[in-house]
Amino acid sequence: MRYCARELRYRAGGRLLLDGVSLSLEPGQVHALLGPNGAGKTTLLRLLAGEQRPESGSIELNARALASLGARELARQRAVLPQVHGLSFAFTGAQVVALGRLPCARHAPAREAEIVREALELAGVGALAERSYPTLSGGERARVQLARVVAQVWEPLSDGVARFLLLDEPTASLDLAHQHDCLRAVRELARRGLGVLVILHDPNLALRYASRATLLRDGRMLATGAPEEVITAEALEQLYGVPVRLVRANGELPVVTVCDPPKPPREPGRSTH
Amino acid sequence: MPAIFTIINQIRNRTRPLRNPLLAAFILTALVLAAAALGLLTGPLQISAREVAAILAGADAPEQHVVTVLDIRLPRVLLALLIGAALAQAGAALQGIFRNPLAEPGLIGISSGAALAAVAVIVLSEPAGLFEWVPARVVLPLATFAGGAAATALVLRLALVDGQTRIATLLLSGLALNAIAGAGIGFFSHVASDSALRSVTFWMFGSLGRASWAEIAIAGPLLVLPILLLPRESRALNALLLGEAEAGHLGVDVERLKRRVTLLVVLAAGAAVALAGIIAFVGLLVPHLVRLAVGPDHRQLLPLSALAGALLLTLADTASRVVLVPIELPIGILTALVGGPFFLALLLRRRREIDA
Repeated sequence: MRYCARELRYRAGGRLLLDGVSLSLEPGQVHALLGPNGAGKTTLLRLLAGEQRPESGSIELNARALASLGARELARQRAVLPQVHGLSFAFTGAQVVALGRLPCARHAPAREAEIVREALELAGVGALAERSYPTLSGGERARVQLARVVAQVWEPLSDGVARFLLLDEPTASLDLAHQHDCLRAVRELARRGLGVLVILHDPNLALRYASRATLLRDGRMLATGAPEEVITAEALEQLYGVPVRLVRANGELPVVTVCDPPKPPREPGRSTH
Repeated sequence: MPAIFTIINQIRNRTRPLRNPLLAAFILTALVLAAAALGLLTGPLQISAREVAAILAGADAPEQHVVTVLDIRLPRVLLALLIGAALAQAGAALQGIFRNPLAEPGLIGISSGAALAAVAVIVLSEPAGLFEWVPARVVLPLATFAGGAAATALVLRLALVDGQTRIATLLLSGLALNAIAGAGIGFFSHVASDSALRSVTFWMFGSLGRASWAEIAIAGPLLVLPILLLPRESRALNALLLGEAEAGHLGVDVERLKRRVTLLVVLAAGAAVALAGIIAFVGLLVPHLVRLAVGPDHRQLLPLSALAGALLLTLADTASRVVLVPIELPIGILTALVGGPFFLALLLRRRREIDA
């Protein structure tokens, strides 16, 4: 039971956005996807989600070809959190989360309400259940949306199929504390058996919360494996093009810091503006 | 009715929408029945409430009174209820698939396409003697319906880019088509004879004055079908409010949903225009108000909009019969006259949110 992509190629507008990318998500794992802007992270997530078809390569979900799954069947096995949210209608927080239950085999109303409440609690927004969504701040909206996709895959291993969660920068609009809350919640979900792919920009978060990491650059895979093996100073420098140091304090996880770029040697005869 | 004041206060304070949709449904149903009764009692011929009730129950009464109640007022009230419900619910569903609270059937060319077809048939059939072959009451609704459907099909086709319906393109194409249809209507009105021009006015401003059992038998099913089928799409429409990609992730086949809903909307609006001409603002205003009261959940929004639309149009039709006695004010003028400023007031209060 896994979510498995092999040798994906994808082209848009004549540009090769993904070239030979393979990735495997396992139940119980948090898989971090890192890479600079434009590396193809979101494209990869969209292909996995079934939103777009790869030019070549294959994607399997629980041993079935993704393309052979109906939209609803697919929606029962994977949830997707996009980067931006367009909802402008005045649903309450709880109503937004309940929308995530649309494809699920529905329980009795009381149990459904409980799932919605628990998903909101898990995302740390239990207090926003009755608030009108358009009046929420950006970070609050992001967390309500997280609760929505979490509710969609609330029972990660029921009916004998594994369920997966694809998150596109879930921490983007969150403050420091909430970034960690969010990923702790994600890790807790993985502990319950969910398989998670999460696009992250902060290697420190990946080091701390992910069980696997894949580095993507210019549509190609740079490395994949255990986070502490993959996320090295050399790999990050190659990935982002800035000098990076990993600082390790007595027995704790390494911390990634960006160094000042070396001063370019002054070339004689050229004026600086 | 203190409940109504509660609702008005909730709307005014923009607090949490009305908690209990069942209460809203109950109040609206009662009001719809009251409005229908008022419609049956109102008219140039004075007939007492007791007599109307007796006639409806099948009791003996003067022939003229029986005909007035059963063959003139009753079909007219029924038609007002059906058209009001269909237009308002179609508007609500259309706002759902566009994810835009300012959409209405007229915007995607249904009304103007239908009116252009009607006007062309009226003006051209007179010299051609068409109505000597087939009765106008058969040709006109058919032509109108075809015109509305054709215009919408064209607009939808124009808005289809890479297999996806683009909403902005859709609205702009609708705008362009409305302008073209307007020119056509203007041309035909210009060359029309006086009698044809009166019929043209009927289509342009809307009237339920031609309601009869024959009309209800032909177009009733076309109106009832969307009223019954649209609420089945409620959950999918709710998901669509999150965004098209998000609805897709939730297992909704968005393109097919859009096509199904649009077809039902064309059915409802096309039949409405075919029977009663262009009745503005019902499809825009009613869902807007209902959404303010109960929130955006289509499971409540669609049926409550149908009820509120039926209420509004029945009241408007009754008013149109009495405000300018002995002549009848076209109902489209009345709804636009009341709806326009009301909508403007809504915009003024909420323009910050709408543009945001």
